[in-house]
Amino acid sequence: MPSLSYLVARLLQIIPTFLLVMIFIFLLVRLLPGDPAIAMAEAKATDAQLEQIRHNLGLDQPLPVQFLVFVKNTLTGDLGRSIMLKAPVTDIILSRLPTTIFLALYSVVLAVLLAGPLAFLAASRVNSPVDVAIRGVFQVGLSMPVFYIGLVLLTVLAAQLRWFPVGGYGKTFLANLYHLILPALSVALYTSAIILRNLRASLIEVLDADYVQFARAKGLSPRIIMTRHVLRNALVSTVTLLGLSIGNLMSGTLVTETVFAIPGVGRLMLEAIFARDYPLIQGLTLTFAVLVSVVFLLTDVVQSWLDPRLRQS
Amino acid sequence: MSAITQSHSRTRGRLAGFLARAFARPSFVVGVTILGLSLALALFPQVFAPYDPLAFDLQAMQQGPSLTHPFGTDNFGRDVLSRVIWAYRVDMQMAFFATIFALLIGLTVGAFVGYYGGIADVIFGRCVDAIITFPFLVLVIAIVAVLGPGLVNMYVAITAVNWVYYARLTRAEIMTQKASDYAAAGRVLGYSDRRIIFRHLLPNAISPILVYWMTDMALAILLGSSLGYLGLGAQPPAAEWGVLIAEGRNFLMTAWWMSLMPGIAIVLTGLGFSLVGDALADLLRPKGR
Amino acid sequence: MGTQEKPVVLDVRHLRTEFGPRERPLVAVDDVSFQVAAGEILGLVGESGSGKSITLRSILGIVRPRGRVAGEIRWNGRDLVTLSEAQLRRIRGREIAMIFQEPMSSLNPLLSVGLQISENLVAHTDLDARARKARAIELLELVGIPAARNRLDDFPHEFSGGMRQRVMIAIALASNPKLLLADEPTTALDVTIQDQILRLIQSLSRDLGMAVILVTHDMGVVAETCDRVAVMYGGRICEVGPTAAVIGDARHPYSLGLLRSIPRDVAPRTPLYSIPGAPPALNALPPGCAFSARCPVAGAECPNVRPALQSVDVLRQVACHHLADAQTHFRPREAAQ
Repeated sequence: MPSLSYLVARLLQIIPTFLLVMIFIFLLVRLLPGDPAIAMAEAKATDAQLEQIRHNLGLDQPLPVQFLVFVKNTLTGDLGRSIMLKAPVTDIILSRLPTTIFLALYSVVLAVLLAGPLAFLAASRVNSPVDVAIRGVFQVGLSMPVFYIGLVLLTVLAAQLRWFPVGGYGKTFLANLYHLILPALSVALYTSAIILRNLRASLIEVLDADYVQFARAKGLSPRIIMTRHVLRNALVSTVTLLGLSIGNLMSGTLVTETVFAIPGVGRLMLEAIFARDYPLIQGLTLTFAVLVSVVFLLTDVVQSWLDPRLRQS
Repeated sequence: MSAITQSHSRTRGRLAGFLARAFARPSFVVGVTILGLSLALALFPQVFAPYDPLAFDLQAMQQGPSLTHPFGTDNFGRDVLSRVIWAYRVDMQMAFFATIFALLIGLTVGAFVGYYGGIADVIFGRCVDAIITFPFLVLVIAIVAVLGPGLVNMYVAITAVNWVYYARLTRAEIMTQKASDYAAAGRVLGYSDRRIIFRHLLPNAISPILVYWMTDMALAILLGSSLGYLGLGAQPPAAEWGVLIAEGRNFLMTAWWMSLMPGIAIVLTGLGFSLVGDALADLLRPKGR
Repeated sequence: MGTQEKPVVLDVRHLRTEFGPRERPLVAVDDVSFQVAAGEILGLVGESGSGKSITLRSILGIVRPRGRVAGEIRWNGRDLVTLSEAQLRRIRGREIAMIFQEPMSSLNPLLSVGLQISENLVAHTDLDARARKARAIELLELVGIPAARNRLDDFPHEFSGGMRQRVMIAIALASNPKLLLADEPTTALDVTIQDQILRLIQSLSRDLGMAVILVTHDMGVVAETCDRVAVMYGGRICEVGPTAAVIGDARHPYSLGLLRSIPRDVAPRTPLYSIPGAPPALNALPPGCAFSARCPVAGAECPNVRPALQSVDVLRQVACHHLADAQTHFRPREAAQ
């Protein structure tokens, strides 16, 4: 297991990155053209009303002060009030977040279940017709945007064949699995194309590695060679890749939530953008950054658990 | 000196042999053919489109694919195939404009940071960390949200995020090249830093970056059409694949071809770019790996 | 020498290993026959691509499934060529063990050294966890790893190159094999470490009565370590005999050339001899003698007629049509030095 000091060091590394993330989000809303107050106010608002809005948002204070207030509020969990929904941003996001996380995890599981066996099949028969076919199909998959995959699935499986629901969201875990299968599959198909490409390459490399030859020469059973020596080593690069594709995955969930009308933070982001709800946009952007950072951190921990060479320093 | 001239002539002399090897690969030939056709469609849509993409035909609304309308017609009776062909113009532009500025900025920043290192490199590293902490699409649409929807704003938003990826790649390549003999030879000869970077290091570091550019153009089409679909990229009535798909979204039950046919163009063009990119990457990969 | 009295443990007859399509196979090992006696160290020497490593891997059947093995490999009254994968698994690592060239890449980087030893014991013995641990420590001590007890939980990257090779040997020795196949075990190591590892293999062979086949491209290693040596070229054996005899009185033009390329007692600034040309590709072997294209004494028949291995004295066999010419070609210059 990775040591405690490793974890602490890794956590400390996040701080400067996050400071920059906060500055970026802060500037995004404040320095670019357009006056949030005008955007937020009613069309026929008076100057006094605008002034009041600016004051409420703290926009009449110098930028550094505004930034410190922003950081302080964020750290205490106060992300302001949504203009569109007239409720605290934090509460809105927290109520929508579980759906998105569920959808993202569901997609990852589907993607791994899909890509894993196929990558294995392709890698054990390099350049055979099976390998070429699998690679071809996934090459096409890589060229399909998630929203398009979603619409195709929706048309074929839901509208025409009526196998799956067109949209909506269930109440229980099992109902969710059923209701979210098409949106999750849309993201999973794209993600699995990325996983397959990488996993196939690393399996080919590992299957040919000296230590696998040595394991055979030791007279170990194929099952042990496969699980302990081949898969474990191929897993290291796959975990890295999965971690790095979290951004892709989040982008994919955002799109798929819009296509399938799922009430997660992704669709909320788009609604907030069309409503010019700046506090909500700011809070959501921050939420996505936090999600990605947490996944990056988890990836590092899992990696160092899998690979002893990464545990030092 | 010899090391330097050698590095130059080697780059040029290899080109002919390189192209010969590239065209020996079926995937490269297919990719180049697709891209060639796409470019032709983008440049001369009026030659290829069977109908006027904007002509309403209220006698032929929402007709399914047929010989007269291979991709069917939309809710105003417009020929979907013609609209898809005219959309090549916008989408091929997107592939280029959403990436070219990122490429140029990334190359310059990456080269300087990689060559000089030091404090600039540390700051750069932190910025990269911060920017990759956002999901790409989230950051782009957040910027579009502030700038307002539209093609040009979309290019600005994508470039603002995307240059980081080029810069990161360039930096790594330059650092490898910097360690080589001919760079040392250039320094011994007293060449200016700028000359060493732009005349010697970059030309040798550029091939993986150009390969990335190829695959990135495929990604730009995916991203651009996604933004078009979401209503943040190209704006209707402009013909753009994502926009076309979004227009058909409400007719999935009755006229699925309105949404699904334009997607074929996205997949094909994306495939073209990634086939060429993959083939180039394979050819340029150092042997023995 | 006395090797003759000891019983033969491994008897390889007409071994042939090929890869690729059956219609146009690449023949990596072609009609190779040799014997190894108990406790004997046999050197298998040749350039890269001469088929020496593939010969070793063919014995254990780990060239399968891509490689096809034919001929006979007699071991303990059984023919390994005819055994199934499952039957072979009971022999691999238990009766016949193997070590590889690259100690860096031959140990699984993700598993502790202790686990990599004990998985061998799990596969081939009935020892319980505690006994396996004791045996693992014993093995690491046997191959000369200091503080063995504390190193079971260490990972391969925490060992130096020479120590890793010792670990690999310890793993190979786990269930007391009767034959050790060593594939260039010292090539990747520093010269001083090389020497230590070779002496370790020698003493283990002597103390445990274990036969060893040592594959190498280095005649120096052979001279230092092996009782007998077989010289391979183009997938065939061209000369085999006691080490002292082959090195002191080589007969095959290839062996003569190989020995000549080692600088020994030469005047300063004498140019090093090297055999002209390069080893043939597996798909471009002539029907006759594989060495004919580079041989200084080859005649017209050499590329077409395969020379058989023939006894030149009691213990020695050579495959060459022009033994006498080879002697006159190489001897005078040798004598002049």
